[in-house]
Amino acid sequence: MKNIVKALKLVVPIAPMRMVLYLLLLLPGAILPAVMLHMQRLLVDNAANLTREQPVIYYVRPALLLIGSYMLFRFFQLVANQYMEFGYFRYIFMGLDNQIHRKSAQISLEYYDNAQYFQMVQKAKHASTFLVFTANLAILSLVLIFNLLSVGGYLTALNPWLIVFVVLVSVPVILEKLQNAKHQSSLVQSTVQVGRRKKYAFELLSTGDRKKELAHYGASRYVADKYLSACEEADRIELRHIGRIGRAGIGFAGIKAFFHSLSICLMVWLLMSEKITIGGFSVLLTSFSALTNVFTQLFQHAGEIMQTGIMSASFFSLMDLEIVDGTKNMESNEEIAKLSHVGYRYPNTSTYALEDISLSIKKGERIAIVGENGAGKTTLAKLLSGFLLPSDGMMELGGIPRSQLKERSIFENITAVYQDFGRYKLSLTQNVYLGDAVDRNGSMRPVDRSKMQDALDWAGLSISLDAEDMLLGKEFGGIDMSGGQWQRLALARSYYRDRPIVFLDEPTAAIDPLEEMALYQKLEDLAEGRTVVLVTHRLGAVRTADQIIVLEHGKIVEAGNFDELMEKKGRFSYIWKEQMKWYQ
Amino acid sequence: MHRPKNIWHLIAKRPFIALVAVLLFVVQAVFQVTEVIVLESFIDHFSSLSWQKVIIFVVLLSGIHTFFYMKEPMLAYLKDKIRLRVRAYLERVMIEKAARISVEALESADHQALLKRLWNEPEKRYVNGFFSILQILGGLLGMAGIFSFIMGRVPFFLPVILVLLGLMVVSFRFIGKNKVAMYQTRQEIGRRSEYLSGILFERRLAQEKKLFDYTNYIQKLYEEETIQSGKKMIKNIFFTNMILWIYDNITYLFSASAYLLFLIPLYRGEIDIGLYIAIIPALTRLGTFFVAVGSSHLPIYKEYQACYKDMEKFYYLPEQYYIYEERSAQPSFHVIKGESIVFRYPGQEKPVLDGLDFSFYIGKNYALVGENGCGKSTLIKLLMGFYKPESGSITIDGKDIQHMAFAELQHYFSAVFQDFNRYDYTIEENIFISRPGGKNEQDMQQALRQAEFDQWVLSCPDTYKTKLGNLEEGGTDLSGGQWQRLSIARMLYRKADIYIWDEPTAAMDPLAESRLYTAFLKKRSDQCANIFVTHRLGAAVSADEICVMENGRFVEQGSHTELMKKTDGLYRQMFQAQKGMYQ
Repeated sequence: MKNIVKALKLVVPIAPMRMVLYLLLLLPGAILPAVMLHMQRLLVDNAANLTREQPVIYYVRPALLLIGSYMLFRFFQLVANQYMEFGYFRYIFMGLDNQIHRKSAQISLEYYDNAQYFQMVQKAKHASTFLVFTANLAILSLVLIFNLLSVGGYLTALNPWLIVFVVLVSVPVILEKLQNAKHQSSLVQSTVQVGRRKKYAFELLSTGDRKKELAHYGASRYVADKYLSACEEADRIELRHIGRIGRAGIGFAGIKAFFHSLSICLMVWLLMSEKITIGGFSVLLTSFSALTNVFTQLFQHAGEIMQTGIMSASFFSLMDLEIVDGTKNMESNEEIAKLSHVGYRYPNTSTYALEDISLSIKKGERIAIVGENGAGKTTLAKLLSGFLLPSDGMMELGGIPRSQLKERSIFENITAVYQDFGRYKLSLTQNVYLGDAVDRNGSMRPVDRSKMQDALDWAGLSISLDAEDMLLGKEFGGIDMSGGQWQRLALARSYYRDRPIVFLDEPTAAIDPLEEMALYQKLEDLAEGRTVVLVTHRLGAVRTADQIIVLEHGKIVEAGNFDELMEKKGRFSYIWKEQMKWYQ
Repeated sequence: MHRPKNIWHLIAKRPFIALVAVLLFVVQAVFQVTEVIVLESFIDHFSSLSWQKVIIFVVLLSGIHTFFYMKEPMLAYLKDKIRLRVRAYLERVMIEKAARISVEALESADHQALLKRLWNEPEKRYVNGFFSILQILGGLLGMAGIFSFIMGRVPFFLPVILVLLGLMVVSFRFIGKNKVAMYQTRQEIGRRSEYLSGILFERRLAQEKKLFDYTNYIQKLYEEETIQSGKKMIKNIFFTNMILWIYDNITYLFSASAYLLFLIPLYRGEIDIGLYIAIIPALTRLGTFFVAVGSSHLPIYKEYQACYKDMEKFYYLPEQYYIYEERSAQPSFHVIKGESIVFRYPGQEKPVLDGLDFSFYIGKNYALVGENGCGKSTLIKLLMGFYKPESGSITIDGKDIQHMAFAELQHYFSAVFQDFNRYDYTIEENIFISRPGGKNEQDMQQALRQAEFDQWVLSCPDTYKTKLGNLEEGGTDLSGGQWQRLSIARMLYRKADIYIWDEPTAAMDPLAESRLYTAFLKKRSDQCANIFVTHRLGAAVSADEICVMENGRFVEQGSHTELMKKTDGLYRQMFQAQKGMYQ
């Protein structure tokens, strides 16, 4: 019940005016049925007492009015349905999606690394459907109550006994729906994982990029078999499920039939004892099932609202996820970062990814982090850029302990190029603008045209400007881009985001040598007056760094500038020489 | 895949459950007529009936209604049973076809949209299609029963019905067409919105998303897209709904006209009030039935037909497929040659490959270098038969690869691509998949060792059985470089004549890269060739032959020393640039 109130509180404010309009479109459908019943009774009573004294119009008029009210009734029903789907629901879905989007923007990076988070988001998205149902069911229930009052009021005027039986007929429906809700929710819970497996296998087989490798290996069949075994499991679960639902359904139908029989007895008794006219009897015959339907629907809605209450819980469990964030804003400081004996461990792992890291970064300094794969370079960069909170030790950013800082205020100072950059299927300009689209308050900044042009030129992206509004990427029929072009676009994006601290995580992985050389020179320009943290395998790029941090197995093994490290003849100079060999 | 079977074939194969459903509909039709007869005789005589007869009436009517109640869950159960069976069939047939579709066909946006439409619970469309027909037939049967019952008494009702039926057929056609169009747009219209929203859930973009803080912007684009497509739909749907309304009124007139028409025989004293009253609920039900035919049964059947048409289109998508089989001896050849190859991507004017000639010999190592977009990766795709050249030919020892079976051709190669796959399965499955079917542990360990990934794997608690990615709970995620090593191990596990390295080392650290390349480039094998696609010239130095590509052709070819001798050569320029970074 708490969930239902919560759901309504969430959904109703998203588009209240649209909701009212929708409600107004539904109302005629609630009142017209009573009018139609009355017309029918007049018609039959007149016909039953047929004398030739009355003019023909006396008999025909109720029939015409009956037809007219039906036309109106259906008209409003159709318009309301159409409005529901496209004028109302869309907005609700959008509003809910937006809330999930915003929440997932706040969630710590650590969550993205585990499957549970993905299930949680998936379930939350699924649950948003049920939230929309809840809202709609609440509205429909309201309309049904009107309908009930009008038809029920009319029938009660005929004989008050009838209402009692219709209510009794509808009682089993609630029980049935509650039962179904439990089954439905357990079905969703138990099939979500198999569903993911199916989807994954299908994606491997159905996207060109993924399929290429499988087609080449002759392994498509292997993945198809995985898909099928997930299917079999899903089928098994569902087969059990429909058996249960079916048995329960037949039981409830029996109960409903029993109550219906009782009401037939009542109708016959009322007619025989002349408590209702023959016209009234005819109205009961037609309206009985209609009214039962109304009740059934109402209880069904009530049951479904309960059900959506259960189902929408997943939405709230995502929303209620606690976000730990500081309160202070990061400010400009001579010391950008200071770490003393910092250690980091990913959640649910026992080994440290980083251990005993102590270092200091001054404003305007250029730091290079080097080391082999798995040495912890990227983790260190994530710590320094505020994505992760240290598990041990003390870390200050801009002179303030990390734990007291607002995450967003740290990011406000940073621009970056990552190894896993996005290939957004948007237009060229949108792709660049993305880097600095939203300001601190969450509203859009104006597009800076000249800066964008600079960024594109700077990154060496030669796409003609008349194509700037064309979509990129083949998926939606746009321009096809090579890996290198995407990489340059990522660089332009980060350039457009003009910030005092720059993080570069293997920024030139897909650019050809001539361009790479030019780019590193340009990155030098970019570094001018900025603090730079460069994560790289390519030692050629780190010569000019003020501080080179050499990581191995999560620990700093060497630190210093290029000359110092070369003199030391330690790890760094060894790797350097290895790489140099290729150019001798 | 066999030609996809339609719902009728599927039903006919195991008709028992469907027959039970049909039986239920027949009984329903009989009971509907019985109800009218029972009611009529009751109303005509109720004032003079004995209480025993009244009880019989009540029992009969209750019995009929009990059946009506029981029928619903029974039908729902039968429908679910059929649905699951159809699903099992479709899932198998469709995934088998999906496995066969060629890479080139999958790259088209149209085909992607088709797949998206089809992979949306097609079994429901099948079963709903079948049941909509059952509903229509059952309804018609009930109608026939009631008409035969009243026609004798009120013959002039016949022409009225015929006129109304005619009108209905006309409006069916309108509705049918519109509904099909609606079904297709509705399926596709959400695709872009879904993509935009999906960006915000992409794990690999999480860091970028948070740092650039672009959630609000993407959300704005998503809202615009959603609202715009909604408006498009509403225009589309308004017209259909108005037709539906007109149709609806016609069908209702049909049952309502009975109220009017039956007044005449009643007026003349040809029928009793009992029939007049008994027939009204029956006719109301018929009216509802006709409304349902137009607004739900037929459109549902049309949706099924549209779905089946898609299924046929899907069936005709081009295939390129084989199942790997271990062979006792690796087939071998001497040389693979290309002559004046021209290739362009569909819809593009400029050819990517423009009169390219090449020959790669077994026993030699090649490096393919050049700017991005110069056609390196395209050449690899042509070589492996994923694309066909527009003109020119590729031959293996003189045999055109176009005339070669796909399986035959693939056995010559083992490739790792720039955008290699990261399988969210176990480590060993990630390796075994390049030679699926068998599990050669020794070869796997050797491949991992050669890719220098064995130590890391052994440090995992589950070693080779470690689950990767986030598909399964407890899966480990690898870094970019680790995935690359794994993909190289996968390539090495496969036995081939030509190993293709399509820039797999971009995220690997240089020391590791140099170790890998030393092992593979310097060790010449007479049995196989390596083709390295790269833009890191350091790695190309020790290749036997470096092919420098520009504008879809090889502009320079030769060993490192040869190419360095050309004073203004492209290779020399690029090499100097990279070397400069170390000085």
